[in-house]
Amino acid sequence: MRKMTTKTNRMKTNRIIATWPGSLIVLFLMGMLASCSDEVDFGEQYKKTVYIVNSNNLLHVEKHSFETMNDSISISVYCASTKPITKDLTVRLKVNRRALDSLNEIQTLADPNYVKRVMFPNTTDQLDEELYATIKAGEQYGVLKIPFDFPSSGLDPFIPYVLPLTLVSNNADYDINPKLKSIVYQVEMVNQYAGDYNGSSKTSPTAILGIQPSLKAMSINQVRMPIHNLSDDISQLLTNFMVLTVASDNSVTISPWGLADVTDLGGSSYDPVAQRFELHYQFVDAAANRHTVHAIIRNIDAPLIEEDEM
Amino acid sequence: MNNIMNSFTRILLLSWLLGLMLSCGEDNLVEDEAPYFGVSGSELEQVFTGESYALYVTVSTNREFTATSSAPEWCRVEIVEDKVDNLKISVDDNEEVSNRTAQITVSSTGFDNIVINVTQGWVPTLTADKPYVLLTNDNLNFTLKVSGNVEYELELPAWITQKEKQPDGTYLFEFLPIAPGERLGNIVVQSTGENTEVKVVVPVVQRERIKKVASWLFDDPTNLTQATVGKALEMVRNINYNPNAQFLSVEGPSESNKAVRIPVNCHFLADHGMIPREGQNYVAEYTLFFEFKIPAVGRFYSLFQTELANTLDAEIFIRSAIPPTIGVGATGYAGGGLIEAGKWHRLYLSFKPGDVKFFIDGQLFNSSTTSDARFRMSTAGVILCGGPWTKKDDNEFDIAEISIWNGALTLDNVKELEGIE
Repeated sequence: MRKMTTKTNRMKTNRIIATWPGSLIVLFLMGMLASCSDEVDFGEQYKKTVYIVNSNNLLHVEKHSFETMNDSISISVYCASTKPITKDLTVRLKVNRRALDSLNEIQTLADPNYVKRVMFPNTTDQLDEELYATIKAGEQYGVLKIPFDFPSSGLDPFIPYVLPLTLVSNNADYDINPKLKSIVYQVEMVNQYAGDYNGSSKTSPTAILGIQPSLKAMSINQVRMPIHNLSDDISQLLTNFMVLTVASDNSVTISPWGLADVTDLGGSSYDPVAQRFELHYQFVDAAANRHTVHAIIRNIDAPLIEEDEM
Repeated sequence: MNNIMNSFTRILLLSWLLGLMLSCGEDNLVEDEAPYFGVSGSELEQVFTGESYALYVTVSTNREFTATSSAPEWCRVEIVEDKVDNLKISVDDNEEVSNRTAQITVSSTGFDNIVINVTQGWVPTLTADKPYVLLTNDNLNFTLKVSGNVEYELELPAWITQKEKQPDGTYLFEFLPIAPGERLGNIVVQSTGENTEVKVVVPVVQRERIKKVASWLFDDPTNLTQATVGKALEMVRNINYNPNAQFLSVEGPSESNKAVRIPVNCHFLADHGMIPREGQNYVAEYTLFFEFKIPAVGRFYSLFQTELANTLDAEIFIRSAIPPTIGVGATGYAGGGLIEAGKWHRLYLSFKPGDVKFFIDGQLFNSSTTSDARFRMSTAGVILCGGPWTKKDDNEFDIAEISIWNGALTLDNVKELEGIE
């Protein structure tokens, strides 16, 4: 019995001995394969790259409203990947005047009428510090916020101020997209009255002109617009523009811009529902002729109102 | 045999465990610890403009390092915790008028120092004391003060002349008057040195508005030629016709508003002071105002004459028709029924080539598209209330006011002047 058992065991042992090396080799290879990667999940298909959102044209114009309290310039950075990042990613940026110089040089060559962008004055201490944006784990966007207070800065809203920024590095050593690493961020100040308008400007019952003025924001309640049908070319800025100031009761006062010869006749108003100005003023043209104007203009983006449908 | 197999198994198990241990390690554990320290050759020279700014340099190293500036009062250096752009060099505004230099020394134990040369340019500046200038005929001189730290030259519009320059950079300019309208130009202040391109543009607008340039009220019996605006009149008599003719002070429209009676074949000569339009030597756009009273209808009365020799026909008449009309052949006569003898009337004669309008007592009564050259006034003056010598159709009448505007007034202008809604 014992012999039998022994025999039988030997046979088992022989079979085990015969399969042991093969099994071990398979186990060894599996272990090697599994242990060669930190992640056994093969979900990530491409390498991660970091870039600045909206930087594909280098110049990015962003509207900022005079009405906004505690305004800031927001630069979004993006980590391109097929899977979200698992740890917070800190991205470093720097102010880069060379990006601005490059933009101005190239655009000036391409367009003789190009208006050179101007470096944003250092109105916040934050620009003296190192600039970082954080992309939180599990997310793909991070935002660098640089606070600025345009109304109290005393800056001219008609100067195209820009902030040029460039990605420097990130704490995970992800690649930085070389074509999307710089942005020249232009601030365009607006208010609720700014925009493109159309309407009519009448100097007599029979002299009615169609006009399409563009109203530019000057402050929270002021816009600049060209007088009647005078040229809105920037070379005529000193003589051809006037300022509309909207009071809290939506009455409007008219004053000259620069050396324009404009007189407010009173009774001008703004309709916030129709987004429409009704203006009464006099001006003297370059030939010294005085004109009395009654103009009605409406924002082309104004929503339809009841009277439009009638 | 069993021993051999056991040994083989142990070796395999050991190899497997070793393999697992090694493969689980992070790559960066196998790091090249050989020290390195350097700055790219292209970054050893840093050039700044004259304005405050910060640039970054990459110090490639795996060791601690320090950095010092030779001119920390304007050129500062700090180390940023990063692998790239880890040396920040910032400079203040350079208010000097020359370049300045500093050296940044970067050091790490066991390596030679690295010196980064910093050069900062300066800011060429030119400023003017006025952002723009508005000029009028009332003052034919103006000043502009230019300040700066570079050599420069001025470029002036053709119609502005430099009169003098003060040592402090104040320039005195002069210009000629213009007819109503405006002209624009730029005074360009441009640097002349090499590598100092700086420019200041000061827009200049010369503007003249339509305004009353002459007026006579005849309220002072002792001085009937006195002007309230402009220059005094000159009395002109035809002594061959009547050596005793006198300009008389008479009652006007009210007790305080006196008038003058113009004798037959006499007139006033007025220096109107108006400026011709550019390229012209005469004045074609103006408005004459007469507050008049005729003693009787059925006669001619001459209102003005542009031909100073006074040999040709006068320009505008009160015609002898009954009822009287006003005009001349070129404009046609109109206003019948509006003019009464013995009554004061307020007459505006507005001239603009192609657009002539007459108004009486606040209403438009004649419009003409004439561009007849007879209405062009000489810069030397105009004959008022008379002309010509030969025809003697300038009968005696009374005038309480004559005024001249240097442009053609419109109906709205006249209504405003007459206080008519």
